[in-house]
Amino acid sequence: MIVEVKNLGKRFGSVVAVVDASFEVENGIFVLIGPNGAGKTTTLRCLSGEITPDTGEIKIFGKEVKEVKERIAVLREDRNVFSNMKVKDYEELYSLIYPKWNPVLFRRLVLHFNIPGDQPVEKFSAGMKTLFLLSLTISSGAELLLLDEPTQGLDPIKKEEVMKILREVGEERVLIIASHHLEEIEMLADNFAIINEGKVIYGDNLDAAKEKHRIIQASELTEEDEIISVLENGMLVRTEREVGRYPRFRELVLAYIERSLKHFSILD
Amino acid sequence: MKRMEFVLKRDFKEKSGLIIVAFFLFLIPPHFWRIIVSLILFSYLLPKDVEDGKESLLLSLPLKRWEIFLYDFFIGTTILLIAGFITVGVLKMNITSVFRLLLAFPFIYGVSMISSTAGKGNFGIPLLILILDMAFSWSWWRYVSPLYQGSIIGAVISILVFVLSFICFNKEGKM
Repeated sequence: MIVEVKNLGKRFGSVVAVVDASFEVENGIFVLIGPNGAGKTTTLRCLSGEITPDTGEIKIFGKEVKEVKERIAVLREDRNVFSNMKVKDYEELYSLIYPKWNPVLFRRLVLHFNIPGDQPVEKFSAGMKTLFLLSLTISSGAELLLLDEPTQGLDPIKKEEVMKILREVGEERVLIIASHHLEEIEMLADNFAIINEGKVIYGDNLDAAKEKHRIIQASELTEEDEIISVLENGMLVRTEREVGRYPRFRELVLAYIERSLKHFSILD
Repeated sequence: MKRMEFVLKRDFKEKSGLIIVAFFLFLIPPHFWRIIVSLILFSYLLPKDVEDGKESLLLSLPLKRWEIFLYDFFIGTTILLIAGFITVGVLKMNITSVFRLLLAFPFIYGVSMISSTAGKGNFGIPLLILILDMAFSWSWWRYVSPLYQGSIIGAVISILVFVLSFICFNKEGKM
């Protein structure tokens, strides 16, 4: 197992960010899905060793995070960068701390994305920062990449390019991606976990998840079926029966999130 | 050693102006002046990163908390010691004055770290503490002052504040 997370919990003062989250990642591309503030970024920050969980246990490559930090590279959500540094400065620094740094791949990515080498990185646009930091992360040579919203701020063409590159990288290395873009996730993920209000509410292989669920009408419901959520066009149930139709990935995710939500109305 | 080189190069690329200015200002002898210059340099190393949330950027790289904390302290100390020894060689100053400053550095760095990890800023409150300490150094306070270093007690206090600041930083500081 590459990553094992057991009963992870983290709070910041009175704010509970993650509660009792557990999941495992063996290979390929694993996606943490959830709405804003669900706990995805906090989970990735714990995995990267940037912050220490309050409760639970994380094992990466069978060891404590601090022992394997050189094998992990992170694309942070805030896209925070060092001041007064250009592309070549970053290259010099990253080559010092990542033993498997790949300069050839880095230069190829920089050229491919037309990243300007003569400007300080802090002056890049949001999209260009994403492309640059993603290039650094991939070129680090790390075996585990933690990518927080890797297509954030990109135009549709660049998004497609990035998705293609990530699929290629995911064939050789393990990627854990945090995102709330369902269409992109469906194209990328081998396995996923839905996270909301700090809890992992469902996790599975993408295809297996679809096979285990059906969209049915109320009249088709039996005692064997577990109702996940009532949708506009029927209800999503977990069942072993051959009934109704398979759900789309979007329907599956939204149904689980809907089930976990505390409903709010201005009339309450 | 490569991780120390990373921290060193990062500091020199990001903060070269500050480092050069602090180096030259430290060549001016008065003890109180040098204490203030030390604070300017130390508070704009890791404490400033904590203030700006950049320490989390460093921690998401293959660097450990203790490495970031200690390497920045060593870098600041080395720069100021070089300037200090130049004054000993050129201005024929007493070497004891440099060692008194060396014993004060952990306190200066520690106070700034504690202040920034507590979310109280990296410079203002530490400056106030330093001024208060120096203001009372005419009295019996000089024997316990971590800045004046009138006795071994001052050195012990300085080290204790340094250790406390490391403990605070290790508890993840400002979140």
